[in-house]
Amino acid sequence: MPLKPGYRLWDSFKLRLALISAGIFAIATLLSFSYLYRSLATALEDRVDDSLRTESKEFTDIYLAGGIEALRKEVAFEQEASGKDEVFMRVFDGNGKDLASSDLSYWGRAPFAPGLTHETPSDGPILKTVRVARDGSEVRCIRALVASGVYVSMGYTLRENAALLARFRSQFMNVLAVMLGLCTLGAWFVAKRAMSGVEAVTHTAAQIAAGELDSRVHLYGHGYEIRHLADTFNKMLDRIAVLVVEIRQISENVAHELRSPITRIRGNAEVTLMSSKSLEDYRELTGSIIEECDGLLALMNTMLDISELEGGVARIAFEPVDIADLVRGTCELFQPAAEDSGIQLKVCAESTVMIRGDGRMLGQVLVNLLDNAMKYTPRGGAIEVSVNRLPNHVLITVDDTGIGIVPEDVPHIFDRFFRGSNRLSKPGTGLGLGLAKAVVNAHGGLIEVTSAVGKGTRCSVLMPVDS
Amino acid sequence: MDDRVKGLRTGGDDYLVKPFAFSELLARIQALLRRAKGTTEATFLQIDDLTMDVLKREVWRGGKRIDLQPREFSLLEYLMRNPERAVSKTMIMEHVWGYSFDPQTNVVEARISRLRDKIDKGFPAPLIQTIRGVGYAIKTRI
Repeated sequence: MPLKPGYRLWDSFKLRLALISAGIFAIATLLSFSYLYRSLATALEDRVDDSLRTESKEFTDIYLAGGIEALRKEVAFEQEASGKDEVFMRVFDGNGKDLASSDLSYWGRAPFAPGLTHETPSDGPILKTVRVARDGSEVRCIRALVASGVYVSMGYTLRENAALLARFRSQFMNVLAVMLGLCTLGAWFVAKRAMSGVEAVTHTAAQIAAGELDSRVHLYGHGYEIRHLADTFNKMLDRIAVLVVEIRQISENVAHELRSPITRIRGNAEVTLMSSKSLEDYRELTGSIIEECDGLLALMNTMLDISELEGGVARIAFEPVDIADLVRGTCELFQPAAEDSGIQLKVCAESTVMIRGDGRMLGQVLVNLLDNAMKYTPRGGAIEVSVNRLPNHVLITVDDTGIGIVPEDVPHIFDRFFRGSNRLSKPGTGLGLGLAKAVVNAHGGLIEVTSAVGKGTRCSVLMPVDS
Repeated sequence: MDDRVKGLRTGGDDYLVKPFAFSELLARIQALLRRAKGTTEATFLQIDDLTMDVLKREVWRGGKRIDLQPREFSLLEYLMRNPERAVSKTMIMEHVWGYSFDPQTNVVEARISRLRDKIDKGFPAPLIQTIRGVGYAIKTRI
């Protein structure tokens, strides 16, 4: 994918996804680490506190058994065993007088920190952490009552604990850095894989924009969502392709329909201009031009009407219409012409059937159906129009005893500009039934044509009645 | 108020100020149409020896009463109200049947031929003329 102008690194969904998931992972890891760290630190401290308490109780036992001399020996022993900068011990009386003490030179003022001396008159053990001035290390201290009037204060260094925690921290940071790197890479690959489907769609769209209209998205092994996107995209393209072909066909048909009358107009005008002199000739030319133009205008209007109706933008006046009366009126209109053509035109309509719709458009539908019946019914035939009220609908049928429609033409009979293969010799645009269907559908009705070659055709229109 | 005066002075028959109910607009237009009809529409029409009494719905030619069907009467009335003028088949469809289009079937031709049978047959000068490419006109042949 080449970078488009205006593309910034941060705009990349892949990068963002990778960084965001790495960030979330880092925060989660940090939270769980700090929980662990705190637990570990507390556990270490508790262990020191337990030792301090046990040791101070031991002092009581030793004092009760051997008095202050025994305590002095214990202090000296402990110092020897642990080291003078690992532990300190100090036994003192209620006035602060030293009774026994380890070497305090390393500890500075730490053994005399507030709460650890005789000045705090409390019998319960006091535990606290004090900083050693010399090296900044910490010491955990206890001050407890040994026996009446005798106190002990002692401290264990926390240097080892601090070193342990420091090592834990630095190892954690190393692990975190490696994990973050892996997580970012992993998220990047996942996002790249997920986005490759989207990029395939984009690629196809770009190809189509560049003119390769047959291009489609080909995807294998992606997740449902991406496959669904690709499928939907392909279906949309197929639908558009069908529409483009349809529009192309319609344009070709329109051009074809326009060419013949315009050629005729031009031919007539040229002949008149070249050869005729009389006013009567020019009158006749004008007349023929008007006649051709009327035909062209009717064609244009019908095209526009169908487009508007199918596009749902036609202004339909939904008014109460007596469809039975409309049918009778239309048949009355055709009666003389039918008589002239030797066709028997019968109407069988109920008295009044009200529907909601546009009287003019519905009249045009009936006229188109009757036009067709008249055109394809030979002399001596019959046309029967009937209006039947059904529970919620009205059924209007136009039956003729005409030439019929060949079966393979029936599915296309409503297509714009379609002319039946046995009907080409008759005049017509191939728009009549298309308009009829558009009008009927816009009124929420259905139209159907059934036919038997040589026997006749039936057009049925089913319309909802006005309740 | 100024608009109303200006509107009427510049040639309007009536002036309606917004906002108005659609029914009022309709009623006013209908009233104007009634008035217009009263002044311009003749009730007695004549071309040559063909006469029509619109109110009695009677047609006579050369002293002979001609019996016409309602649609034939409307068709003839439309032609006689436009004497010497060519009217197209679409115009006839619109004024006589209320359809704004011309069917492919020759419905108007069939009507005209029936009307001709009734008013021109047996008379030396036919009144209904065919104007090629345009339609029909009722006139005295020159």
